[in-house]
Amino acid sequence: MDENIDIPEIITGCKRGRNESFSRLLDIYSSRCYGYFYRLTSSRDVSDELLSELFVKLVEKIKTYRGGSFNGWLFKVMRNVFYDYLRRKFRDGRILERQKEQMAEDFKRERDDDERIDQLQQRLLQLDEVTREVIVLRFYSQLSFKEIARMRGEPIGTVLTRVHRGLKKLRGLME
Amino acid sequence: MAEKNKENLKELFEEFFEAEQASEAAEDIRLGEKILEENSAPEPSGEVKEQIKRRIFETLEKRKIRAYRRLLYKPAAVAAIIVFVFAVSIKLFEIKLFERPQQQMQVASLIPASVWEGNDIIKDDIELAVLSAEIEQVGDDILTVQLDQSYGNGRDAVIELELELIEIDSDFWKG
Repeated sequence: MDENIDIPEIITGCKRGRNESFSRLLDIYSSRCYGYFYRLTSSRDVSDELLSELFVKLVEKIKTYRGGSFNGWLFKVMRNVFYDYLRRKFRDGRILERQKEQMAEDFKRERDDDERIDQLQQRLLQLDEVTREVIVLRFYSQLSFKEIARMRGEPIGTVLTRVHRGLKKLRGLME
Repeated sequence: MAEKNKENLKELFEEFFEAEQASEAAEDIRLGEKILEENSAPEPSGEVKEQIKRRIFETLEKRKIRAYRRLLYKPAAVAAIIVFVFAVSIKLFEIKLFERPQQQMQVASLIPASVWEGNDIIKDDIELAVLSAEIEQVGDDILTVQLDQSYGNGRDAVIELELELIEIDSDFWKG
């Protein structure tokens, strides 16, 4: 990310409801946000949808940002968007019990058929969900362990151990 | 600068591990994150970004319309409340205005009820005529007393007048 970008000024513009400021914010953060969603869902379509949802959410929520780490705040909103998606998926799966298997198959096929799935993505899928989420969060949010621990409501030691073990395992899988 | 770059991983791990283990853990994390850097996730397409920008614009427009409506409706609601309170106050004020004199007023008729309630109209008329003549007489006497205080004894005239009034009064009540 360009260090010269004046994030506070862009945020001020967003708070005033300026379209250009939001466009700017999208240009700056879209890659990282998209990476986060893609690494967790393995689907470009879902990532497109979640990225769009995230920015609509930002338009609605930007006034609740009261200073401090914007990265931290943004990734908090992003995690909520992702968990909302998971809840929706789970709820839809429960309501449409018959279609659940079909959905899982579709999801798997979507992943398998997607030529853009790289080797790393396949290895990441071999990690447990929680570890994968923390590793991806750490990498794309660029937040410190302390902030991640605070965000997740976990002791810092737990987060450190999880990321350490997960990355070590990932390295082993990639070799 | 990203928050994660500010923290010293080795120092962080040293809170939980021996110095040597801490160094190893920090190195594991560094190497693991290097894998993530080398295998970047796909980027959102330009088309998707444009769609999101349009959605942001639409959301902002909707918010503006909502804000304008709120701006219009709020004073209208306040005005309606004021009009209502004013109308109720006027109503209450009117009621009080008409109630107060009714409560305080003591009605007393100068003409005896027997005159009004009597069935003999001719007799009542004669009595009324006598009464009127006597009142007229009394009025003249008062005028005389007021105008002609220098003639004769004024005090006697007043006494005489009072006696006359008492007489009229007794005669009247006697019928």
